[in-house]
Amino acid sequence: MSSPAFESSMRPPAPVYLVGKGVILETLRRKDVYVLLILSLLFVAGIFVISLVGIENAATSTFLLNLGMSLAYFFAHLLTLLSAARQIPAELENRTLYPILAKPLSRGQYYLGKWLAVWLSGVVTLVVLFLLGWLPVPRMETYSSLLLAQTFVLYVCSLALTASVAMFLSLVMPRGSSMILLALLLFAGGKIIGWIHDSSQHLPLSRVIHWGIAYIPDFSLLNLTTRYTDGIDPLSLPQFCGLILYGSIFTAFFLALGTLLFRKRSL
Amino acid sequence: MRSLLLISKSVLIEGVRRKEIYAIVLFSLILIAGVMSVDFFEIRGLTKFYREMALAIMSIATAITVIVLSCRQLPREFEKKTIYPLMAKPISRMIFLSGKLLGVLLSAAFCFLLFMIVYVAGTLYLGGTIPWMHFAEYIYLQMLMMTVLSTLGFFLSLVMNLDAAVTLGVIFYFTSSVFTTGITFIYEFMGLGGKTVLVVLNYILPQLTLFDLSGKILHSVQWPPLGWTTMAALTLYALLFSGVYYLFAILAFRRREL
Amino acid sequence: MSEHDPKSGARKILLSGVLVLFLLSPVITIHLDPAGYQGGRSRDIRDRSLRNQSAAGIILGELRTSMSDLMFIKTELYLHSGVAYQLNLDYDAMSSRGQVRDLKENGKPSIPEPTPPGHSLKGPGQDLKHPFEEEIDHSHHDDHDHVHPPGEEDTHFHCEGAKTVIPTEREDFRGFIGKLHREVKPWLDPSKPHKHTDGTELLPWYRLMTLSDPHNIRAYMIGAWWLKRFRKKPQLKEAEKFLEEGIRNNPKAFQLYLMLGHVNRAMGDNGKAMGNYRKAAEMALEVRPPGGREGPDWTNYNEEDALASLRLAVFTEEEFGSKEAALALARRYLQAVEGDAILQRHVDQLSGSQPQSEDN
Repeated sequence: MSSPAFESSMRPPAPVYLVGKGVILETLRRKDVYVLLILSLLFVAGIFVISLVGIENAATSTFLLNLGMSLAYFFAHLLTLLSAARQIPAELENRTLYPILAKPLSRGQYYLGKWLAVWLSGVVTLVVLFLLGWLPVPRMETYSSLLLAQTFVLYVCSLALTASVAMFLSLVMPRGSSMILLALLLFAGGKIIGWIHDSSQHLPLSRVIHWGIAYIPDFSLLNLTTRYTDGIDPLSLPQFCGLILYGSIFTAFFLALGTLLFRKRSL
Repeated sequence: MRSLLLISKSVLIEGVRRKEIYAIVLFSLILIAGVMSVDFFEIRGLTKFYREMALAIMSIATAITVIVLSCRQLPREFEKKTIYPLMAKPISRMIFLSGKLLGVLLSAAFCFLLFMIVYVAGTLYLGGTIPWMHFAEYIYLQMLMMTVLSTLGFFLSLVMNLDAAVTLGVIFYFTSSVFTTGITFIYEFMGLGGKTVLVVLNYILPQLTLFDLSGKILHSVQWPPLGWTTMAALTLYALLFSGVYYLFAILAFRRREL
Repeated sequence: MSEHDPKSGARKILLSGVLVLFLLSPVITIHLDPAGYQGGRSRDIRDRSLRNQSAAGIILGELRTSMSDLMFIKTELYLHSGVAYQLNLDYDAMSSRGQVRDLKENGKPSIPEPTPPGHSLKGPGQDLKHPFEEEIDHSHHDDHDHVHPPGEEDTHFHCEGAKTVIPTEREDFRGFIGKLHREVKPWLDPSKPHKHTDGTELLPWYRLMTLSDPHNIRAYMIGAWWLKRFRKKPQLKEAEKFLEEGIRNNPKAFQLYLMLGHVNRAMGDNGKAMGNYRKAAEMALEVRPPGGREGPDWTNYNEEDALASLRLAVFTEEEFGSKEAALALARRYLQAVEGDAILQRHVDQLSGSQPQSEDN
């Protein structure tokens, strides 16, 4: 008689996990990790130059800390965006999607597996670059450790959102356009939203406009880098939970939308 | 010659047909329109802000287009296995690569032309004037820079995978001015060995910031255009690096098994 | 999978739930503003000066994460016709007084010296006989302080000695590449005097800066100074609008009320000017540390602005209100800020011209 332990070990792994594993293996096979290596070398070169010229004062160390963290954020998001945006289109173009979907794997599971793998790859990139950007800078001023933890958690949320939006956009527009649009949203969206908000203050339908623009994903809400380096207090628990909820809702929405579109798409 | 032109034409048509150039131009135009909509406090003739932003956006957009296009040419041919029927024809690898290079440059010129029309129209609309001599020199130097980037892109795409090549190309472009300023600054801090390394780096890496005349265009009232000796020196400088990267690309391509 | 499949039903419920949460998400979003805090090291003038003058800052050039830092660099470039000096301008002077002046003559970067406690601030050449005009337009008649009509080339040559980012041929190891660099980029030999050009073209940058960071008080002030220099009604109205926006975003910034008072005066609206100077004065007293002691949140330019607010509140009350009220105000303010020679002199003048009050 077979034991439960034996049965559980014989159970096939979840399809989502298999798809995700496939994406990560492909990433390694394509040597995409070279990109991370090049970026890491860039950070190391920067550290070397700064160690030569020295850090004259606390203001400069704070500036370098902000720069290091911002670059880690920027590159991790950029790579996640590029990776997510090419997942489905590349599979469609190379016609490698059809044999995969012929297996007992739902489109939803496939889509979710892709998203999960891209997100995790982004998190790995973030960890590597974050350590390179944050560790070497001397702490000449006080910074909140709790806020640092909050910042990192929100970075991870932001990566999840980036991956979900990128995959959704790759289904509705050409790859180049989707990449550019999301890059604009990611790195300038906060400013653009702020500008629309301010410009529409005196308009008759300002409340409607403000409500409407709240549906545009604002990645700047999930980036606490400057707050951290400015030496400001950590976020209160309601604020922090609110931001996580914001990131989660938007990620879930774009994932759901993307899955729905992918299900209905004729291949 | 005919084969070269045919290959370059196919690159240009492919670039135009894939709509990527239009996507980049369109988004750049949206950014430029956004710049033009920034409140100028009811003052006409304030054009430096618009000109600086527009030139930066256009230069960056064209450079990224060139880097992506050039890095993608050969890997795509290998991936889709279209290289084999091409190489079966009586076309040398040198002609093939030259055709690709010309096609990428023509695509860059096309992209740049669209931008320049927008730039001129925007400046005139805002009540500014165009310093035509500076402007012509700027376009020429930018095209020289695109030549260097294209040949570098070809070379990188043959020695590493596509993503790594694009990443390295883009990083090289964006950090160029930091590199140029950095080596002059840190020279004093280095020992003899370090100084030697910096001198070598100074000469073996192309200084792309030398092809950026936007500073003088912006403040053209105060600065005359470049003299012909400077332009000739910059042309030789660009052609030298382009030639070296092109040679490396040819060697790498020749050694690559089909 | 059929439509009656329970999994299909569960999926529909899940999707509906996500949609509802998304549609209601603005309820959360409008209460989230993690960047909505005052102050911070990135906005501190002193810190900005230090980091932009540091070796790392110079090497990185225009590679910045902060818009205000980029503005710092752009202002330098625009005012020096594109020549990249190793950050030479006194920003505090620019925002407080609209002065375009360099830091130390030997090109060494500096930050404003702290004012010794108990000293009232008085710039060189400040004329006690005409304090009102001094407070508004220009007060420091040194070589660097000239207010030029917009559009006019600055024909005055200013001090030499400021170091350029691109080194001279003598200091440059790069050979012909260095020579090409000096040809292609705007560059002037540091041994030659450099001149400041009109900063009007910077206005769109300041507009962008305030859009990017509505809590950047200095950007509002410097932008308003440049607009005020036009001395034309449309631009003065724009300056007024600009400052009102700044006040909406920074209700506790007394300097903006002070600046608004200057603009009102330039427009001939003396009543409004008086009101704004008064508001600036009262707000300044609330935030001023005891004795005007310099600290991380209170520079000598803050102290100058505070004293200017107090003085101008008194002067305008005297000119457009009543002398009795001006005297009472002057006495109150003098008590709050001990040792201000200008206020003391004004109290003496007003007392001398007034009958003794019952209080005395």
